Order: sequence, then C-alpha cells, then structure tokens
Amino acid sequence: MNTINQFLTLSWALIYRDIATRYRRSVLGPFWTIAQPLLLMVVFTLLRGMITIPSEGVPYVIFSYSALVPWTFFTSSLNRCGPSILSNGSLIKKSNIPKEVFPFSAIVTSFFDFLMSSGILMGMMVYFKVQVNVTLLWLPVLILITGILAFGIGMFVASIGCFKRDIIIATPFLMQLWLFATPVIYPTTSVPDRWIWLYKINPMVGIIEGFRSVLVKGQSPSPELLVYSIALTVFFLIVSWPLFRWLSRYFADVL
Amino acid sequence: MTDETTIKVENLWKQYGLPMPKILNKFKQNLIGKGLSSVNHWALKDITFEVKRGETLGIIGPNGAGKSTLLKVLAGVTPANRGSVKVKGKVFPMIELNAGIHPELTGRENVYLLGAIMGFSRREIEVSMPYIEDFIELGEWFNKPVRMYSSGMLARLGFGVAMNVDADVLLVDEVLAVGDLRFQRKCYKRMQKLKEEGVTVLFVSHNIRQVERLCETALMLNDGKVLMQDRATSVAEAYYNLIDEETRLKVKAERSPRDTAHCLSSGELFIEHVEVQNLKGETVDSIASGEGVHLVLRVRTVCPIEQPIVGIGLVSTDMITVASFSNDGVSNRPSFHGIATMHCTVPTLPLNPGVYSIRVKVIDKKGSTLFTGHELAVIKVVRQDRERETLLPYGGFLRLEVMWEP
Repeated sequence: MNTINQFLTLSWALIYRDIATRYRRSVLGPFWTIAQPLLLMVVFTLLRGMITIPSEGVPYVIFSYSALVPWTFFTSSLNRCGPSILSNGSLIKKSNIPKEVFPFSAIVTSFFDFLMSSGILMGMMVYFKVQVNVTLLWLPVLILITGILAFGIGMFVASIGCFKRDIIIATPFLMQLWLFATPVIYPTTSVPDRWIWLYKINPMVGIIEGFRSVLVKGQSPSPELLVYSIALTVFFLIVSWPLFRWLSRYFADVL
Repeated sequence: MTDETTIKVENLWKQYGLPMPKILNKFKQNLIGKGLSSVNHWALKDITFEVKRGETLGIIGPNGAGKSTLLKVLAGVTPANRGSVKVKGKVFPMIELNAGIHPELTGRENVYLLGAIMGFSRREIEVSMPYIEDFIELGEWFNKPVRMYSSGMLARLGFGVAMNVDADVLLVDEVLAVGDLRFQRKCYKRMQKLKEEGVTVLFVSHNIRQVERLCETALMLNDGKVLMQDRATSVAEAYYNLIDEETRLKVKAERSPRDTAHCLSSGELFIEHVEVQNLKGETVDSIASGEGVHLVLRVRTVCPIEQPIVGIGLVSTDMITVASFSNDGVSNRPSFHGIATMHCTVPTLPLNPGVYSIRVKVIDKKGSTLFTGHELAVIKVVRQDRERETLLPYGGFLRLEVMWEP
C-alpha cells in the first residue's frame, strides 16, 4: 500500500512538473497541446482535395479528427515514454524509486493533452450534428487499452533505449510510418482484400476503428478486432514489464 | 544484526553495468580481443562494515576509491553484485542534491518535487515545509522560479530539504561546502542535532578536517577496498600520512623546480633549489618535532637584482599555510647577481608531526613579483625519539609547550 502511495505521489509530482512547466514561458501556451492533431487534420483535409479518400459517409474533418485524437494520444505517449528514463537520469541516480513512474507519468501527461483535444472534438461533433448513443460507454475501455498498449511498448523502448539509444531515436520515425499503416486518415475498407490479414496484425487497427465506430457511426467496436488488440496489449505488457523490471535495476549504472 | 546496528554491509562487491552471463562475457572478450579484459572493473571489493544508530561515519579516500559508489549501493540506487547490504529505517540520500530541481518551478514547488522523489508524501512535506522554509532563509525568493537563483541559493534548497525531513539514515556526499560561511555553520549545527536525535549519518568528504570534526569513526577506502576503519582522528592521520608520503615522493622526484609547473618567474630570478638541513648542517629528510631547521636556497639571477625580499611559507598537505616569514624587515638584505645561496635558520620548529611543503616568493624593492614557487621542498616533521606512540592522536599543527599541574 505504501509503495502504491509513493508511486502515485511521485507520478503526480512528475506530471505536475511536466504540465506546469511545459508552456510556462511560451506565448501560445496550451494551444500547442492541441496543435498536433488539429494541424494534421487540416493537412489531410487539404490533401483530400487532390486525391480521393473515402470517409464512409461522414464529413472527412470529423472522420479524420475522431481518429487523429486517440492516435495522437498513442504516439505522444510513446514518444514521451521512450526518453523518459534518459531525461530523468539524474533522479534515478539520486534515489531508489520505482522506475515505472517515468513511463507511467509520460502516459498520464499525454492523457491530459488527449482530454484537451477531445474538447475540440466534442465541439466539432456538435457543430456537424453527429449523432451519438449509448455505445459511447466503450470510450473508457478504448482509452484504457490505448494507454496500456502504449505503456507496454513504451517500457520496452525506454528500458532498451537506456542501454542503446537507437531505439529511442527511431521511435518518432516509426510512429510516422505506423500512422499510415493504421486507418486514421482513411477507412479500413480502402485496404486491398489480399493484404487485409497482414494489415490486421497492427493492434492499433482495432483500437482506432473502435474509436471511430463509437464516435462517428454510433456502433459498438468490432469484437473480433478488439479482442485481438486486447490480447496483443496483454502480450506486450507481460513481455516488457518483467524486462523493464530487471533492466531498471541497472539504469543508474549506465545513465 | 543487533538493535543498535543501523547499517550492516557484508562482503559487498560492486561492478557497474549490466551483469552478463559468463558465456556472453567470454564471447564478448573473444570478439574485442583478449587484451581488453579490464572491462570487469570492480568499483567495490569485499566491503564489510557496520554502523550503529546515531553514529556518524566519515568515508574518506582518494578520487575513484569507490566512496560515492558505496553510498549509491546503500541508497538502493544501484544493486550490489555480491554480498549483503542491510539498512534499517528510512534512508535519505544526499547524492546529487540539485538533481531533479526544475528551473521553471518555484522553490516551493521544487521542495514538493524533491520530497516526492525522496519518497515522502505530500502530507509529510507539508509538515516539514515551515522548517524547511525557515532553514533555507530564501525569503520571497522561495516563491520565485529556481532559474533566477544564485548557485548558493540553489544549493541551500536541496540541502534544506535533506536536513529537515524525518529520516533515520542520511547519506551525505560532498555537499557541505554549500552556501556562505554562515549557512555552512548552520548545517554543522543541524548535523550535530540530528546526531543527538539518533539519526545515522554517512558522510563522504575530501575535507578531512570536516570529517574529523563531525564523525566519531571513519572508513578509509582506496581502490574499492576498505583500508581502515577506526576512530575518525586515527583514520584521518593515516590518510594524511598516505598523502604526505605521496607529496614527499612527488617533490623528491621533481628536484629541479625550475622545470615544474609549481614555479612562476618574471624571468630575472629563479630559486633553483631549496635544501632542508638540520642545525648541524646535514641534509636531512625529516626533522624531529620541536627541533630547528636550516634552509638553503640556491638563487640564480639573469641580471643584478638589488636586495630582493624573500618570503618563505610552510604549507600543510591540505594546503593550509601553517607559518610564513620573510626578510622584509632585515636591513642588510643581500643583492644577487648570477648564482648565489641564501641561508635561513629557524632555531625551533614547533610543529606537530606531518609533512609540510615549502613555498617561496621573491619580490623586488618596489613590490613586483620576481618569483613564486610551491612545493619546492618538503620538511617531514617526525615525533621526537624519546616520545612514545601517543594514544590520543595529534590534532592541529602547533606544538605548544604545556605544563600539567599534578
């Protein structure tokens, strides 16, 4: 119990530090938090003027933004998790703390950003008069899976990256590629049938489709895709957490 | 482990880095080549010691001896490879005190952050906050971003947190030299008080005098091994002897001071050599405490120099000038041209045993510097023959003539 308490106190302190200091000396401040998914949406909407991207009968703005918001939560979580150990090296060398707090608070920090972008999304949904229903109750489940998946992969990246930096440097690039391998700016139906089996290996397919069907179509997520995503999330967690635990004892030695 | 023992370390071995299985290591060695087997450097080798509750243990030793590593293992920051480490109670490591301080947060916000990092709840920090605020004396600065602080103010922040939270064991790593003199004195007092309250303190420092002052016992580390654990004064003396010996050998090896970096000359005058003799005129290595010494300076000048003023200083191993004297007041000072010698006699040298190095400064009549040189020679002051080994070790430098009433 004491450990959990310490964990939460420390997480809160780190999250407060990150959020309170991030924009303290900037002009636009919190706008930067929502800028990424918003700008991506604008770019892809403009792009759609030149090439055809189907959007399953909803305004493309809503279609892409409803997926870009959870996607940004996922990528920014991972991008923050990766260097979280390295950038807090001085703390790790100073005191014996459960190292999970660093990727954990990275994800919670990203979650706050996600909440802000969600506000914009809600406004847009009201503007475009998107009908929603009880399937919205799936949202907490989907958010939780996204967070845990990012936590699982993030711990892997952070712990390995502590010893060899390459994986941390590569993460932002890989995330850009991953965006195009996920139905964020186009629907899954655009993927050719003979590649769909390969496509569905990506656990984010089920999650992003889930978000979109709940938010835009008012339907429950496809159980088949979702179960697969959950299974893979659990798999990542049980592989990378013990690895992280073991490696974390030696973080202080190499930082 | 008795009730009184707070820290117990047994056969501790520590090597940095990820411990690889033996086969992997062999494979790696084959890959790199046999010559590089020094990858396996042990930072700590078979360390064993105990510390009792309320004790203050000083840890001394040259750089790279493993002092900080030992503290890190005790703090649980890094694991031991072999052996056991038991620490009872709440540990507060004062390692890299300012690490984790965020420049954009205010002093107060940083105190909460530091507290959380050290494992204290918000409630605990809130309880300590008035004491911390009072202790670090930052006034209105406490609510300003830390980036605006001077380095001394910054150091006080970390130190203030450490000194005012409830911990059973304090691990202190080279941090007492913070703040101004007044703050330092305050820290000493605070440490004394913590000691009385039963807090166990491990204290790493290069300042041996500090260790002598603050600690009852001390541990001397060298090359990852415990060389000695004893009363602080004895360990300090042993450590001085170790450095003294090194200093003596070094000075001896550099007999021509003109070539060394210890000398600075305007180009007109050089002290080429300083010789230490006893009063009989014999060149000696050591002088008995309380006896006299005769110094012979060999001077070489490039041009005639009229009546320069020569000052001589005796410097202890920890760079304290113990005594200095000059021929400033002497009316018939010699003038030099070419090579000459100068003699100087100190009829009694009332110094305690130790090694003292000689520095010389020469200025001309107008006061501009002609020559300065450090460690030109050393005088090793030893115990007088008839004196027995003392139980209570020497402290300080001066040998006073004392009468004891029966």
